[in-house]
Amino acid sequence: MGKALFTQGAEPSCSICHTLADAETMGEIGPNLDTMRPDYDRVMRALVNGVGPMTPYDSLTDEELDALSHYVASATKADNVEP
Amino acid sequence: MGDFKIGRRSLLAGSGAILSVMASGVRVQAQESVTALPDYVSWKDADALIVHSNSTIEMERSAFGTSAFTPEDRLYVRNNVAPPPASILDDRDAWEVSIDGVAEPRSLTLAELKTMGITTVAMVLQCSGNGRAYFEHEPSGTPWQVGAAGCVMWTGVPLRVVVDALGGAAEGMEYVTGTGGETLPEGLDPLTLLVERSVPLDALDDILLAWELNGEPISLAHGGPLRMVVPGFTGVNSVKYVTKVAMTAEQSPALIQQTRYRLQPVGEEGGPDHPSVWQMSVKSWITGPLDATQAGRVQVTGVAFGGTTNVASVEVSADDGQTWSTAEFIGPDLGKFAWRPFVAQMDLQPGTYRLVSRATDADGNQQPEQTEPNDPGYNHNGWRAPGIEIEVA
Ligand code: HEC
Repeated sequence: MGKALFTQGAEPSCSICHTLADAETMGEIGPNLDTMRPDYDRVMRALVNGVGPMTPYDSLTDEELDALSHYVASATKADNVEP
Repeated sequence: MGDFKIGRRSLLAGSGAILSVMASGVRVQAQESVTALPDYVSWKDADALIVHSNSTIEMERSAFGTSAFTPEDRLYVRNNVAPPPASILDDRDAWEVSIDGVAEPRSLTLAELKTMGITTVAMVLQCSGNGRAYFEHEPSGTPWQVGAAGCVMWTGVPLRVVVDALGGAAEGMEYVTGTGGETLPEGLDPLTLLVERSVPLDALDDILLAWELNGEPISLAHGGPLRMVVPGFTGVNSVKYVTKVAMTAEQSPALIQQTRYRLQPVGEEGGPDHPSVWQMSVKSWITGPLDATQAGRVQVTGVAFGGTTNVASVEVSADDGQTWSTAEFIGPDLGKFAWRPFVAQMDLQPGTYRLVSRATDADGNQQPEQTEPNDPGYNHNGWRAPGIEIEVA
């Protein structure tokens, strides 16, 4: 579910702005997530509160936010992939 | 809806805090990976840098040394959105900037700007979020420690000269608004991405339209071919790849001005009513020694600056702030916007010490022990958290 949300489910799509090898996305506006390797909490905070040009993803459910945060942290091999 | 939001926010604050606030209260992100430098900064000194991501790169604390200025190949990098293609540097002199909100608005090339006047300013360039890692509430954004700062020389034409040549600022203008030349993707609201910042018109006498950094044409990473440099203000206010400079009655409608870079209380969303992140405050930190050292006479060094005014004095403590001794400035004084390296000569017996420094500016403002937290984690200048523990053998 996390990968699908990353590439198309979330609106606007993460893929427009971020590069993430596992999702085969090449967005260049925001930081390359493979080099950043954000852990679960960091992704969650960015989605819930917004950061930079990202406005809060208010339309995602708690379950979707959890899946997306877990996915990005796992796909980038971050140190903490759980909350 | 608001309640739901706050519920989510505090839920997060709870879970994160336990995981990664160390006993000292300093947040250090273990997952920062050692990654190669991205292409556009491949010429930088990798050994002197910490790569947080391709667009956020910090200088190692050990790389400050005692230099009055920072070489460009060690200077931190922070881009709000991806930089434009490097081809914008192919013909630097052809770069155009439009000047608006003046009696006779028009476009000027960089070649023409170079004929209008020239000056050099040494100034601390510091990311608004430098020191974010020291806030305990784990703000979003890069967990910079001390290295998102450098002291650099900018050369260019004073904006005042350009504005006067174009008939002066129009009536009723209150801000200088600079617009960045980043390429924005289709299909997104440009105002969420546009890097456009407004600073109070008072800054007009200090602002430069700069084309050189430390005597070299400005690299892409640092805003070349032309950057609107605002001395005394945090880095975000110095707009890179500047395509338009306008005297405006209102602040920019861009998200980066209206809701981002605001000093709102923890747990709140930023908005136009919260103070904007503009002028820097007095600050200092230790640059050496950073680890084990020999007992006896120890040269404790650091850098200190006042922000918009001269730094007047610095004190250093080896016991985490219980007792202080006065440090001496070393090297040339490059003016009120620059930093001053300092040294305190201390006689240290074997043992464990925590080195901290505390600066006071010419107006008598002193660094606080802790900075009052703000939600996004900007403007950290507390003296305690950036301290360094050393072993003396
Ligand atoms: C409009 C472009 C855009 C979109 C869409 C976008 N991002 Fe971002 N994102 C950015 C930018 C730019 C930053 C850097 C913000 C800053 O540091 O100021 C960022 C930062 C982040 C960060 C790092 C936050 C931090 O603490 O530094 C994460 C994680 C992230 N984005 C994940 C996502 C995910 C997941 C999605 C999709 C749900 C997404 N982004 C959608 C542009 C975007």
